[in-house]
Amino acid sequence: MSDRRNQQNQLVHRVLNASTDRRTLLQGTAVAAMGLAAHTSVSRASAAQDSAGGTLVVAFDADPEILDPHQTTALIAGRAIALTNENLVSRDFDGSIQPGLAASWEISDDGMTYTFTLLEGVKFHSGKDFTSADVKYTFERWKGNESSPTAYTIEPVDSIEAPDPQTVVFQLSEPYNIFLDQLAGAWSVILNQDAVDEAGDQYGVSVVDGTGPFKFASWNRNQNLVFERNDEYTWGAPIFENPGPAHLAGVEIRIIPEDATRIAEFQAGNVHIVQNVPAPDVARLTDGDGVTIIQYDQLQTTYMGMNMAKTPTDDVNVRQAVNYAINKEEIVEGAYFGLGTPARTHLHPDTPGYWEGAAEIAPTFDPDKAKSFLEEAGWVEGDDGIREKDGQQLILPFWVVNDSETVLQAQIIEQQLSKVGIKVETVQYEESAWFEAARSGEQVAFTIGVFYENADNLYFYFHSKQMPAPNRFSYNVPEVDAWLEESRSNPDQEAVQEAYDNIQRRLIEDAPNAPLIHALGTLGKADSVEGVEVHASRWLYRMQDISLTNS
Amino acid sequence: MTNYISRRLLILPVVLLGVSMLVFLVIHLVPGNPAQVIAGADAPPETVAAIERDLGLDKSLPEQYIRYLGRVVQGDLGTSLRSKRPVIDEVMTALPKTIQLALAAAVITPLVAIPLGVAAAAKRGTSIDTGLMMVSMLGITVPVFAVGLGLMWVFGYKLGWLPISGSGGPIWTLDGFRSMVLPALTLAVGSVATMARLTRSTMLEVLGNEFVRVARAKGLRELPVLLKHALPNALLPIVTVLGMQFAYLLSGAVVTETIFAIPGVGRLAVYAIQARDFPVVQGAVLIISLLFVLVNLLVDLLYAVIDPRIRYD
Repeated sequence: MSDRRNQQNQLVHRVLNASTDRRTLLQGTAVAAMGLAAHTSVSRASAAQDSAGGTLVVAFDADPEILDPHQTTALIAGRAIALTNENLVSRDFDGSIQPGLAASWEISDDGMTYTFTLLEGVKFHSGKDFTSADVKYTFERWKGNESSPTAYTIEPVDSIEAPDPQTVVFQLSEPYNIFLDQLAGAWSVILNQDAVDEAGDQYGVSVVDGTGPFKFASWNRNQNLVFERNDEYTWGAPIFENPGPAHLAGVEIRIIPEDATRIAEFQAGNVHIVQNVPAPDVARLTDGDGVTIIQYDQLQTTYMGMNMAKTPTDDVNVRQAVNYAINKEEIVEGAYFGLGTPARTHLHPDTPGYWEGAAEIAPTFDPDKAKSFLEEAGWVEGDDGIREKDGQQLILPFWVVNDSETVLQAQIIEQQLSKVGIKVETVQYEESAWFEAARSGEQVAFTIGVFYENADNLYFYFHSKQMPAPNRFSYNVPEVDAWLEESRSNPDQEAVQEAYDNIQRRLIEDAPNAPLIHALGTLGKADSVEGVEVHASRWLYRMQDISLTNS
Repeated sequence: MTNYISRRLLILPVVLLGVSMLVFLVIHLVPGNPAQVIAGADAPPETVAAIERDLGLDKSLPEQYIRYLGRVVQGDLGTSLRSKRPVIDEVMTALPKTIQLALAAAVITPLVAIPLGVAAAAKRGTSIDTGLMMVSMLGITVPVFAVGLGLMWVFGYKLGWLPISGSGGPIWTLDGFRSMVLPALTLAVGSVATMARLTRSTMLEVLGNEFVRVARAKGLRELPVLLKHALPNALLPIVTVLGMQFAYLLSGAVVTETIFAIPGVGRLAVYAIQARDFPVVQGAVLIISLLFVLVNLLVDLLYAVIDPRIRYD
């Protein structure tokens, strides 16, 4: 999927929690050693840095539109909000949950009461003290906004109490194992009650207030957003090296929609950071030129989905045949310029909750096996190479979004499946139209990429109550539903893992989709930028540790 | 004259009504749902439905249109579904950039095109003529995209004379002017080429007239013949095309604005279309149509200035 797609788009469900595998990012070096090295470079940079710090210029390819966390699902909006507003808990660079505005918390035995103890001495940019009242207000505002696109992610929250300024108690209606993950997400940031009340409709439009390391300064629509350092900031989360005011004097986000222009500005040194470097540019820019392209593993899977309620994909043999007939190496090279690894399972192997046994039974490229599945199901070879059964040809309508990678990928799949006698008929959709079409129930085969941070991704895509979307497979297996529910509610982590294992085994057997690729993320940085580490949000997050050298 | 202008202006609301209806129909009939875009692909159906209700999209199309029209008549173009800002603010922030860009290109166009066209006509059949016409053919056929990136690469990136992209403020400031040079040139290339060819052919036509022969016969030198006698008579079709070109420049700036990251109304509209932000699309198209009509009126009035034979009574 192209840049803007990645940002604005479909994959935005808890995308902001999506995880990055630091080990892969650091390319084979031991985690601890590299972590240390990264930190050393930060300290060196900060020592050399005068108090000015400079302004980091970051290029985005679209405008974030609105900075109210309850009214958007745009990834880039979340990235801008992360500079100004903070969460109760933070996701660490390795994906684990660490303190944030909450210094500590307790979870009741039944998993339904979460009690947070808040940091003291935290102030909003406006100067107001941050207290439990703001937390209560923020979540009640979110939950009470029925047209908020993300309010459903905190649906299990029943009530919020603020018994004293430093304590917040969340009462859930049912156990919700991913609650802390949700609290660490981009939309769960804490707002200033007074600022929101006062700004009304203007909150997130012309007014933004938070406790974060940067203050919102100005916004020229479709042109740039400017943030200034919050000099009062001393409460940085422990996941950062630098708890105090940011090294940078400010951050400017420049909106440059065209890939070629963005890269030209980056190469010319006018932009320090670009997200999602186009694949053809990665190879070209890797050596020298004063820039570095960081390639990082992200928990991402692009798959070909199949609707089990439509012919011919209602036949498990057809779905298995598709799985065995696709050569994923070819897709990685041909459509993604090598920026990824072939996917064998729905979850990336580094995902917490991944079933180790999956590697043994997951399909591999084996056209003969694909053919035998089809023979078994009675699909025999027809005159023009397309298999037939009861006078029906084996044709898969394949609905894809019209970005270049996805279209290339579809062409490769078309070719590969034709070799086993399946005719793929690709239909390209403009993105918004795809959204609508792929939840109509009429989709047969389709493709989409998903970002996630943990195995709860399985609940999201395969629970029957998630039909028609994001469960576009019409996957409706009561046993799997039960395991998925257990994974969210059972406080016993071993039982949860067992449920996840069972689900993953069952998914390989039922084959509602064919995993294609785990795509790598890319981020371009000028060599003058130090302290860069890609966060689990696939981004630089709050940028507290980042500094600019004078070069 | 006044009569003519007021007649033309009276038609304006009818034109705008037609435009609004057409745009409304097109954007609502195209597949894709703004509530779905806002909710993201993975939101549950209840969330999508709630957003639809919130935005009034659950009403029937005629009802939505009549409500919309009712507000527009009162001067309210609505609120962007995504940024929650008034559409009029969105459009009015973006419009000056587009107008400046189009005006700059419209100034460059005749300044470059007319001398080229006159020169080609004067040197008809020579290698100068052939060369100029080949270059202008290139100008017409090479996509704006390639021209823009090429200019950017040479003058922005390699030589570093001008900013690569962005908008440095209003065009009358130095930064603003500098940042407008490459986009304006890019936008002008196509219209320069078209107009140079047109100038050449109308000049050739005029040069074949008797009064030109008379002018030459009475011993005038070639330059005064070309500029004083022939050119004024060739101007009418050129002005017509310039008027049309300006309207084209206004609406055709989308690609240029995208390449050079200029936050103009073209980009605003394209984003809005992608996100199915109906009020912004409608507002942007309405205002552009309004400009279109006014520019055309202005061009018609200009005829009377250039050619005294034309009167609007």
